[in-house]
Order: sequence, then C-alpha cells, then structure tokens
Amino acid sequence: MRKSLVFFWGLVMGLSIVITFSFVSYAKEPTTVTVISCGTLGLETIFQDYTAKEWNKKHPDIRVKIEYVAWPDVYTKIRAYIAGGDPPDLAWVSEYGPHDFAKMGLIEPLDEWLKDERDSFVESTFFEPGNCMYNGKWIVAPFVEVLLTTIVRTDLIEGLGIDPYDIKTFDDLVDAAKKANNPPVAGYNIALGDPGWVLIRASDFLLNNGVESIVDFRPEKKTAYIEVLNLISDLFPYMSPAATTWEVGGEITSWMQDSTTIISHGTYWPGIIAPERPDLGQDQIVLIPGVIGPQIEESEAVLLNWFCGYVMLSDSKHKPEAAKVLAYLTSDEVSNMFPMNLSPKKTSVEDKIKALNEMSDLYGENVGDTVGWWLIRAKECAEGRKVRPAAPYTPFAEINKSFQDTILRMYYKEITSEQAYEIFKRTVEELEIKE
Amino acid sequence: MDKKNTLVGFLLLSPTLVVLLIFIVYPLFEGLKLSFTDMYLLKRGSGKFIGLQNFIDLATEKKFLLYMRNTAIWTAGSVVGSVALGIILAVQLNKPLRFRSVYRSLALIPWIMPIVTAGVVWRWIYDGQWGILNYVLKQLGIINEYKIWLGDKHLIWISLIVFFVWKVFPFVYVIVLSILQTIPNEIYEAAKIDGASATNIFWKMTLPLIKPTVIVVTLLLTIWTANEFAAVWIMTRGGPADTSMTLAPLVYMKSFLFYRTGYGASIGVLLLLTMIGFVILYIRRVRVN
Repeated sequence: MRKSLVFFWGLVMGLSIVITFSFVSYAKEPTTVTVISCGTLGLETIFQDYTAKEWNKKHPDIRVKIEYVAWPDVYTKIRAYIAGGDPPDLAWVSEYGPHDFAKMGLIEPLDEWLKDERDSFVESTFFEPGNCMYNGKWIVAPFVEVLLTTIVRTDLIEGLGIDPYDIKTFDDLVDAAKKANNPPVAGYNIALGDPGWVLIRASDFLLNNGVESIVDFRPEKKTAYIEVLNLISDLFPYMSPAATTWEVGGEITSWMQDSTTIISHGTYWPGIIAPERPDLGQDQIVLIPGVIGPQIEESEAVLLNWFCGYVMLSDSKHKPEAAKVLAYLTSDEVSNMFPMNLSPKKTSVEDKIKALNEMSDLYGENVGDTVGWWLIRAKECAEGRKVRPAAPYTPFAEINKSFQDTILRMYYKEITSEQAYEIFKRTVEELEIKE
Repeated sequence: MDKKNTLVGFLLLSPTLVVLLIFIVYPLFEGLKLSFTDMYLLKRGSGKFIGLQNFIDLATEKKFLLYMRNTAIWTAGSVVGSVALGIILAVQLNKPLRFRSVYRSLALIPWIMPIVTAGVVWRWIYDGQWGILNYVLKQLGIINEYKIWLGDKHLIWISLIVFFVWKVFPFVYVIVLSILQTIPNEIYEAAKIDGASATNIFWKMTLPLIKPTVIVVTLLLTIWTANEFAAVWIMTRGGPADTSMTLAPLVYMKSFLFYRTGYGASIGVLLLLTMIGFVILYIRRVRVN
C-alpha cells in the first residue's frame, strides 16, 4: 500500500515536472516566419542571409527562415506549400504575377499591417504603385525598383557610325541595330524564349507609343499597337537566331560574351554583370532611355519600371509577426543594403552607394561604386519621363504565353504584324469569355 | 487452413494496399472527379460539375491534333531509339572485350544523372550560339552554319529525341544484358560451328531469346515516355510556340501555370486512357512471360 502510494506520488510529481518543462520550453519556442526568396544569385543570397541573421540576432522571439526558390517556380511552389498545409508567411514576387494570386484570394491586403510604412511607398521617388495594388488595396510591399533602360556596348560599335545618344525613336533603334549587326555579333537581342522578357520589352515599346499594355485593344490604339509589332518584326533580322530559345539568362550571357551590342534591361542587372565581367564599365557601356514611337511626343515618353516586393500570404499562421518582419525587410536600412538595384523609397542613390561601400566585409571592396554608376545613370534616364509600369491584367501567365507564341509566329514569318494583332486580340477575348 | 492463409495474406498485404489506396487510387479518383468540373483557381465559385465539357473543349481546341501528334512523335521516337540503342550496346558489351566492365559502368552514367542536370547540360550543348555540338559539326565540315537545334521546327524533334534516347537507353541495355548473360555460350558456339553468320545469329537466335523481355521493356518505356514531363519542360517548355508541347507538360501548364485545374485534369485523364491500352498489354505480357 505504502509502495503504491509512493509510486503514485512519484508518478504525479514526475508528470508535473515534465508538463511544466514542456510548457516552459513551448513558451520559449520562437515563432518562425518563413520567407520565400527568389534572390538566388550570389550577392542576393549574401544579402538575404545577412539581413535574416541580423534580424534573428535582435529578435529572439521571431525567427526569420529564408527558403530559396527560382523565379520561374515561385508561384507554383507557393501554391504547393499552401495546398500542403504549410504556407509560407512572406514571399518575393515581381511584375504582374501577384494579381493572379490576389484574384484567388491568396494574398493578404497589407494596408492594415503596414500602417505608417504603407505611406512611405506612396511618397517614394519614382514609384507608381499600380502593380502593387489590387482593388485599391496594397498587396505588395516593394523593396526594390527596376528601371528598364536601353544598353549599348560602345566598344562594339566603334567605327560603325552609331551615336548611342542619337537612338531616340523606333526608326533610330532599327537603324542602329542594322549597323551594329555583324554576325555572330547581333545588333540587338530579345530573349524570345522567355515570355516574361518578351512581355517587358514589348510593354516598353507599347507604352512609348501610347498603348497601355499588351491587352490594350482600344480601336484608336490599333495603329500604334501594330507599329510596335512592326518594330519588333523589323528587329528580328538583327537578332541572334538562338534568341528564340533563350531565357533572359541567355540574352545576358550573349551580351557579356560580346555577342550582342544593344539590349534593354533592368537596373537589376549590375549585380549580375559586375561579378562576371568586372572589365565592363562606364567606358564600354552607355545607358539610354527607351525609344519612342510615332504616336507620341517626346514629352509623353515613359520609362518602364517594375518592382520586386514581398507579399503576405492569406494563409500565413503568423501574420502579426510576419508584418513586423515585413516592415524590417522593406525599411530604408535594408533596402539600401540590397546591392542589385534602386530602392523604391525616398532614399538617394548616393546613400545606397555609401551604404554598400561600407559593407565591404560582406560584399567585397567598393561594391557600391561598382554598381553605383549604373544606378545613377539609370536614374538620369528617368529625368523628364514618367516612370511607370504597363497596366496590369489577368490571367497573367496565360496571356503572356499567348503573346510570346504570337511574336514567335511572326519571327517564323507565319503571320504578319496585322495578323498577329488580330490573332492575339481574339485569343485574349476568348480568355475573357472563359473568365 | 486456406481461409487462415488468405487472411494472413491480406494482413501482410494490407500496408501496401493502404499506401496504394492513399497515394494512387485516391488521387486518381480526385483527378477523375476534377476533370468533370470547371475548376479554375482564378474564378471564385468554380468547381461545378460540367459533365464532358472539358473533354469537348479539349477535342475542339485548335492545337489538339498538334499536341497528340507531338506526343506520338516524342514517344515513338524516344522508345524506338532507346530500345534499338540499348539492344545494340547490350549485344556488344556481352562479347568478351578488354575493359568490358569499365564500358558497362560508363554506359550507365546517363541513367544515373538526374534528368534536370542532364537537361541543363544538353541545353548548353544544343545552344545555337555557343553550343559545342554546332562547333564540332562545323569543324568537321558537316554543317556550314550554326543550327538552332531547339528553335528550328525541323530539328527540334530529332534534338529532343536524341537527348532522351541518351538518357534512357541504359535502362534497356541493363535489362537486355542481364538476359543475354543467362543464355549459355554453348548455343552460340554450336551455331558458329554450324556456319551461322553474326547477322544470322543475332536475328535468328539472340533476338527471339530476348524478345519477351524487349516487349515488356518497350511497353514500360512507352508508358514512361508518354508521361515524361521533366525532359520536355527543361529543354523547351513545349516551345517554340507549342512546337514541342506534349500532353504531360500541357497538363502542368494548364493546371499549375494557368490555374485551369479542371481542364488540366481532363488532359491528364486523356493521357491516362491512352496509356491504359499499353498497361493492359504490359500486364498480359508479364503474365505470359
């Protein structure tokens, strides 16, 4: 009897200790905020790991965990995580993709979560928030802004009679591409195998000919639209035939390998080029704003921009904590540490260059200077121009794929520009009916 | 006793059956169910039963015949190529050669290599601007100008099929070789003494002996190849402009990139139905064997 009593009380005490310790350890367990990141390039991962480490050091109660996912897979992976019952809290997004997600109700509106920070995006230097918003609400908190400029390799056009600063109109671009074309060195290139890049480049031409986006089929814009398709068609002979199979990386590689003279790219680019071809600098590269079409005046010219930003997933299990992390990741301090691009917020390029130069332990010597001249020049290209993205639309991926297919059919001379316009218009209309 | 044995048998099988039910039967049933709905993830309230509408839409899609033709070319080309190359190599490596074991091991490398890695490597080999294939062929005087292997409509299938044959022929080779090793050498020696030529020996003796295995391997490869997603997706994403789009990547594109999951499921069901014929043939052949 006595033995039983001792055993019973021993059991009660033991269980109590176990339960108490479990609760204590449970209470001390930090909340983990999972961030899906597409920053898989060398400098980007250094930046991400560093910012996560800094946060984790200062906030033992909220741990940031970065999961790297390649850009083309990000939307599919996020859906898979959600379907698997393990949704991430925050995720990188770009361009117009998040609108599809917003339509599905997968993204949390950020207005309430960001509060004061939200206003700082509105007041930013360049940023037009159109693509970060859906139904009047913020769905994306941008941390970098990308400006699309035309990039000319001056070392490859020596003696060809091309002045990069004279490339201002559609005709000028075709003329320069023709002069610069000396196979296997292409005069101009678009990665035709990459629907995203076909879209971005076409959007730039369209905006600069008075058309709002690739789905702007207003009858009064038809001529302008077809002029853009004609421009793309006129550039085909001066592109590398291999560009039909390239994704954006192929196009950049071609440019780095001295096989392409003129392309248009984002300011995101120096972080990719600088480590690979440190010899290419201001003496070999000229950045100019995009060309304008016959339908607009110079004063109406646009510099195409887009963003990379964070979304919060509606299924996130740690929204208050994720909001705190989000505010940190999109703060001026962190934006200035990102070595690849402009900040969307009201911080000057000079501040960013200074901040990057001070981080030599992390990025190496003078990264700020290495990429800074590019950012300054890109910002100069924005002077006197409206800086804005093309109008958003859904379903994004399906329309883009159809547009890319149409452009490729033009490349293979299966259809003319006029036919391309009609075919693509019909396809989009059919999609709208299905919607 | 029989009843008891049956019960024990079922009990022993039950873990496997449960796994099959959860991971094969249930998803299959859900997939079938989905194919009869208008499920579109971008549309609220979708997912209603629409009968055969998805299948009607699929059959009337402008590119339907192109997708079917592509799947047939891809499957037939890859299977015939892999089986032929696998048999040839197995026969050659069954002969007494110096360093035979080294060759046998080397031939397995493509099979061991992950498909994604292999695909990326082959994309670079085929690249129209820097690809080593163009360089070598031009140095040898076989081509005058660089070819766009993955962008030219006349070259794309041969390029894709060569890649996939390279990737999967070791599977055929290993199985055929294992069968060849069970054939007693005396039979060949007797044939040689009787004056049979090497060609006669292959067609009249070797091939009939390995035929049952080759048929099974061919059926299996047909099912796998028709369902192959990664190889096509990594190399071309079905492009340019759907030139190389087969049914398997089409399911992925429609379901996971365009979010038309109901429609995507109907393509999957079509692929399944097409493959069921081969599965029945395979099961019959295995029983006969």
